[in-house]
Amino acid sequence: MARGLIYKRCGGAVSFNMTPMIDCTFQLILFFILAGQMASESIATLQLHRPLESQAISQEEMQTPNKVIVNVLSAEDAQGVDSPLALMASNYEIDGQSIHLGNTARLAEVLAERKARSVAEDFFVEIRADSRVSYAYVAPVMAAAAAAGIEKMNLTALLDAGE
Amino acid sequence: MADLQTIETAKRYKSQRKKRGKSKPRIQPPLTPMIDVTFQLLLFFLLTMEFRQAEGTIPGTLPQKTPAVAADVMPLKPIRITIRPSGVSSKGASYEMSGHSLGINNPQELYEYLVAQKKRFGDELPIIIHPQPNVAWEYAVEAFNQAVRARFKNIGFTSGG
Repeated sequence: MARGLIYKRCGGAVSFNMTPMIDCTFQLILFFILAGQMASESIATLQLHRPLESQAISQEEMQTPNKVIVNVLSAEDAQGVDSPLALMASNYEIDGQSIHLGNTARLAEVLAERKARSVAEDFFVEIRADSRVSYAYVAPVMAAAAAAGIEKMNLTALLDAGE
Repeated sequence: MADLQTIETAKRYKSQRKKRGKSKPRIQPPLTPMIDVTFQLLLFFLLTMEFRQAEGTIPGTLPQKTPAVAADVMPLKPIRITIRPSGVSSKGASYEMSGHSLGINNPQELYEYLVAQKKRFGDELPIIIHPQPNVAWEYAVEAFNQAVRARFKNIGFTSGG
C-alpha cells in the first residue's frame, strides 16, 4: 500500500523551475553591458602607468573633443611582462591606422590633417604610450605634433587608485 | 452488441462534478528559444568583454621651435630634470636636477624637492623634463606628474633626446 502511494505521488511529467536561472542570466547580461566599456578604435590595448598621487583627470571631466590620440604600442604584446622587448615600440596608431616607427613625416602629416579638420581653436594631441616603451620612441611624436603646429599635449596615465 | 456500446459510452462518460474538479491546461509560451538567445548574448559579452582600468590625462604643453633666448634674458633659470636609467637591466630611473645628482630615485623625493623649489622661486619657475632616450616612458610620466602635483605652471619636455 505504501509503495503504491509513493508511485502515485511521483507520477507525471518532471520539469524543473527555469525562472531563477533566466533571472540570473539577465542579471549577468545587464552587468556586462553596464560594466563593460565598448572597444574604441582610437584606444589601443596597452599598459599604462599609474603615477604616485596621479594628477590625471578623467576623460569626462577633461572634455577635450578636439584631440587626436596617438598610441605608442610596445613590441611586447603581453601585458605585465618586462622583457627587453618591451622597451621597444612596435608602431604608432591613430584611430586604428598604423604608422611605421621611422615614418615621422607621415605622423606629422596625419596630425596636421587632423588639426586642419578641427574647427575649434584648441587642438590637443594625446600621447597614449605604453609605460614600458623607451622615451626615444615617444619623443618623435612630440616633435611631429610640434611640426604640425599643435601646441597642447595631454599625457595619458591611470587615475589614482582612490578615484 | 448494443449492450457493449452502452458499456463503452458509460466508460467514456464523465460526470459534471469530475469535469469541474479537473484543472484547466496551463498556457505557457515556449521558453527554449529565449533561453538560447540569452545564453548566446551572455557568451558574446563574456568573450568580448575587456576590463579596462580607469584612465585620464595630464595636461601639458609641447616643446615649440622658438628662437633661442639668452640665459641672462630669461627671468628664471628653469629646473632641468634629467632622467637617467638605473638599476638592474636599467629598469629603474634616477632624477638629476639641473646637472646635480641629488640621489633622487623615487617620485616622492622628486615631489619634495620640487615643492621646496616652488617655495623659494614660486610656481612660475619653468620645469624642463629631459629623459634620456633609453629611459622607460613611465619615468617621464612620473616626473611630469610630480611637477603637476607640485603645482608648477610651466612644465615641458625637451625636444631633443
